Amino acid sequence: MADLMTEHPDRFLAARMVRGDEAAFGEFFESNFAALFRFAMPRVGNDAAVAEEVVQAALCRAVRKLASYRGEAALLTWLCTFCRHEISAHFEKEQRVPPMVDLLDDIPEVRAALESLGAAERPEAALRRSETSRIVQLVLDRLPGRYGDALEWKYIDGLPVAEIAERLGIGVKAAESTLTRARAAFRDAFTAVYGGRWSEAEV
Amino acid sequence: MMDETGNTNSDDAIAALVRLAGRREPVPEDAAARVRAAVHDEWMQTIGRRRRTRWIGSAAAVAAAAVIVVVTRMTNSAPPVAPRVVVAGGQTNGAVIYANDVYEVANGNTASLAWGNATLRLDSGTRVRIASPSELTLERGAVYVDSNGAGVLVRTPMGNVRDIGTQFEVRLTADRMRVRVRAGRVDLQRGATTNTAGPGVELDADARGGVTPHTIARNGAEWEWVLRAAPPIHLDGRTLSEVVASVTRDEGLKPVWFDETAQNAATMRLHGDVPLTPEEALDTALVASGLTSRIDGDRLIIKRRK
Repeated sequence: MADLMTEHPDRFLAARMVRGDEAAFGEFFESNFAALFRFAMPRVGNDAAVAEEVVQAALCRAVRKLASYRGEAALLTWLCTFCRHEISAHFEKEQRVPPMVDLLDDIPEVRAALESLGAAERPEAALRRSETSRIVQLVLDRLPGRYGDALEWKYIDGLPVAEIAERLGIGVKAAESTLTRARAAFRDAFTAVYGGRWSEAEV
Repeated sequence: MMDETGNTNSDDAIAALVRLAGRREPVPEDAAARVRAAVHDEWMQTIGRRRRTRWIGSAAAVAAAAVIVVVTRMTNSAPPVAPRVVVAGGQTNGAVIYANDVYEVANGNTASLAWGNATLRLDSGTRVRIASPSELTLERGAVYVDSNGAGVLVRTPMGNVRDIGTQFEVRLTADRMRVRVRAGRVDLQRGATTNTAGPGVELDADARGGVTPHTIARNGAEWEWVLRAAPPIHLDGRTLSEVVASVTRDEGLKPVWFDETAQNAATMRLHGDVPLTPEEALDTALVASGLTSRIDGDRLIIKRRK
């Protein structure tokens, strides 16, 4: 199963969940909940209770449909689709108009780049420095597994590899490997979204 | 120049970018816990429905019907004030266990539950009250926990056992409690006293408060019931290495892929619709792959069949 596990990790995770693998459920939730919650928050007027409600509804709907997930899009992207639907349903039910939001990841070009994490199409205009932070955070949310957490622990918290390994529940060598892969994934994803040479970003 | 993670100077910009962005907005822990419980509940019901559907009309269903497991729901006549939270699920019978349910295994049978992030095996005649996905009370009998780092608490009348990423057994008799650690570490807390046990250590606790440590084997006859309690294995779609990993973990063995033939076969995908016991599954998978195995201490040596 090395092919499915390495080439389609999201499909592999979904397949494990369909088989009832409890560890897979934990991985699914830990990898996606926070990103999905942050996805929902600005779209529901930063109302945490509503965000919780729509994310819960989206995740419940998604786990019921997991057997139909084919991996055409990244798992988080797939979950975001459910979340968008639940947000719309929420505002329809409330007979309210969704807040006007101008979100970077709602711009089709940026969204496509985030979702593909590989299509290096440079946005038309240079992104402002203040938006760079937003992009970095979006990219961290979209990285596979817990790469985003690992990079934050490493570069913001300054944790040693041994402690990162402990938090990830893996050995030190595996944590080193995870960090290496996380940096590579971040570099690819950020390049895809930001365009040009990532190292020229306004840092 | 590289640091301990292979980081080069060219990676410094990544560090700078991540620091520039700052920490992502944390999500409220209580919201995460509530959503997790609700989604887990939905997931358990979904896979429970799927399993029940698959089992209808199968020989496995007939076999499963012979396993007598009693789930007693400790509900009272008052209406519930909060949604009932699913805390575990039967791996052999599809049972759904809610918070504070009592789960009892009839004499002569065993059971296996998915419990939070852990796997829980219950020996013959065991009775547990499962409070949450990480806490249970052992009222009688024996449980084996493979915690997967979940950090669980097993309460007993003779003390509480807290794991630190491990595999362990807690067995209760009329006047003693035995805690046996296969991997990792557990803390046995009795009043203000804490005794710690690592791999291959047994803590024998008596009713007067005494605790005696012993050295024990991490596999062999004393642990055989754990494998007997394991759920059936479906080979179809799994790789040989997955099957071997599953069975050896329950046996306390480390697989060693001895030769090139064995190493090449590890990723081989298996086929077969009939659910098998773990031992049958291992034998079948090895034979089908042209391999054989033998136990050497705590290792399972897998090599080409001559």
